[in-house]
Amino acid sequence: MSHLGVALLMVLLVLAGWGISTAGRLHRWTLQFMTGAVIFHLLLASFDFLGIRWSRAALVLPLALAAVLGFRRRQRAERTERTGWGDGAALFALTAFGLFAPTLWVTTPDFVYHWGIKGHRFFLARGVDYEWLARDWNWVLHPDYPNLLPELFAGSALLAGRFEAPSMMLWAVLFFAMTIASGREALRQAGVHGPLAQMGLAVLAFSLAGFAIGQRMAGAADWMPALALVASLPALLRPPDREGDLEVGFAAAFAAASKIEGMPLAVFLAGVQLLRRVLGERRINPVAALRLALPTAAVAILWAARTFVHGLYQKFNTGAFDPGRAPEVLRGLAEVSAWKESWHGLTLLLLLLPLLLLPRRTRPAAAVATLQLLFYLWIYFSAAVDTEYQVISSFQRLAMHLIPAVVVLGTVALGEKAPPPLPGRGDGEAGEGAGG
Amino acid sequence: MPLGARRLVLGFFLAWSVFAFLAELQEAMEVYDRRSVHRSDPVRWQFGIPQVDILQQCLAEARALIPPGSVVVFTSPGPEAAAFYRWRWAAYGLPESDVIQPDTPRAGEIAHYLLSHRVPIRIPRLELVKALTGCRLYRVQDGAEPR
Repeated sequence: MSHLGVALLMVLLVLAGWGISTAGRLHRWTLQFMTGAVIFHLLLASFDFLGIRWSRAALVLPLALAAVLGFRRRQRAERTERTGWGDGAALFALTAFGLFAPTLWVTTPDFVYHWGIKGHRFFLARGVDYEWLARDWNWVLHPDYPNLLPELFAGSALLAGRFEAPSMMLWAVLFFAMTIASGREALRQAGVHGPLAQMGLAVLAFSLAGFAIGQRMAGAADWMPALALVASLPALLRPPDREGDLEVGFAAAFAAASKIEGMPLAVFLAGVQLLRRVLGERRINPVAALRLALPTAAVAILWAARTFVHGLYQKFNTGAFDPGRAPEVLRGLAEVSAWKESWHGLTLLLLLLPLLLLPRRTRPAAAVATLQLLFYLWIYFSAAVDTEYQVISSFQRLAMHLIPAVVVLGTVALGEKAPPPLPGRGDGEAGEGAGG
Repeated sequence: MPLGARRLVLGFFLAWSVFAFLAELQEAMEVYDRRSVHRSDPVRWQFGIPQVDILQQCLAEARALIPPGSVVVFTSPGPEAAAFYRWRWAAYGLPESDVIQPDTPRAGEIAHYLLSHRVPIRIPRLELVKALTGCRLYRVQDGAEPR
């Protein structure tokens, strides 16, 4: 029954985001889910603001209304590519994680320490219990984190009638599946076909599944920024357009509602897409700016209002930039570069980011990932905590936000075809200025 | 770069990721098979190990006896770090209650119950409610009213 609650909420959110995109089916559903999740998050925040207790009717009716409004928008799906062995490999990796996850054996400790207990408490309280979050001893819960994941836990528990941890692990499985779907679509839209696309997809799935099983990522929120970034890739890999603005705008808001690290990611996503618009059109397009910024602004303003009104913000999150921490940061990074801690060395893929800034096509998305990585390093140099411990305890999880996108972008860079020679010109001249 | 070389690069990463996946899968299954082995350090606790099973049993029994909104002091023996992580597991298992540590400021004034993990407590203000699986639940005499 509890599994059904997760499935039901998932379907509702996919329907609530109807009409956001005309991309390939699986990626389109992912974008619809993310849009629906942002609507859901804002809806629950409005309920809390108005003092309305969460109930099944309060949850289902507005989401159903959003779905009806969405159905009125015409949706013309592009044809999806045929499946290949890479899809089978990805499905195998997903299934391995999907079978493990509900056993709770690969559940993240953070599910116990904060995500899970918040979800359960909000389910019982029928709302975000700010009074409880604000209690002195609950600093350990990261009370200032955005609440989308606990809200998904609580919402699915509400539909099921009870909170059961094994069912909550299914959210991670769904995030994983959607990350694969979006990565697949990014490769398809970038024109990467055949064995290269299949290999890229398999690398994405196996690296993520290995990390998720080994480092126990079921029940974690780190899937969500990773998903937001990968889901933005198709839009960031093609020339900017209206649909891409909407896709990036809602993916950014989804990241912002997921984790505190999602806030800068949202700014980088929307900012880079807007910059592409400005550079391409030589003017600021206010409508495009609104599409990109409004969803994140709504999430961030509500988060800031609630966090500061209830005094939830934890001072240790920030501090003055201190270059003198370099030895501690380096010691921490050396510690997490051990074989198992570094995803069996796969975190080295992050070193590819400067290379991915070179091809014109991958540059915008690589810029977003690079900025996010620099943000993490900046936090290590500034947060008022034990620096070395912070690096050791967080870097491999933070790498998870970026590695899936790096794998997809790397495959796109490798899959780019050399431009055909221009008619009437020699091969030597054809290559000039064809930067991809 | 020629197509063959590109395939080679991706093939290399594919082999690497498959290796990482299989290594993690194998290790997770091996550890799962050894899950009945006790782990003394609560930092390394996870669902399915005996300590967590016992604590969860204790908390499930306590949950039925503690009114929602109560403030519960959770105490357990051992080093501070171990007690800290056991406290977090206890808080997870009692979501309707405010679970605090003994050294929380004003704990003696605001607590309604005390849950002692493994070790019996003898303090005049504490009245034993019930000995549960692996723990004991006490009511704090003259404590505050539950919220």
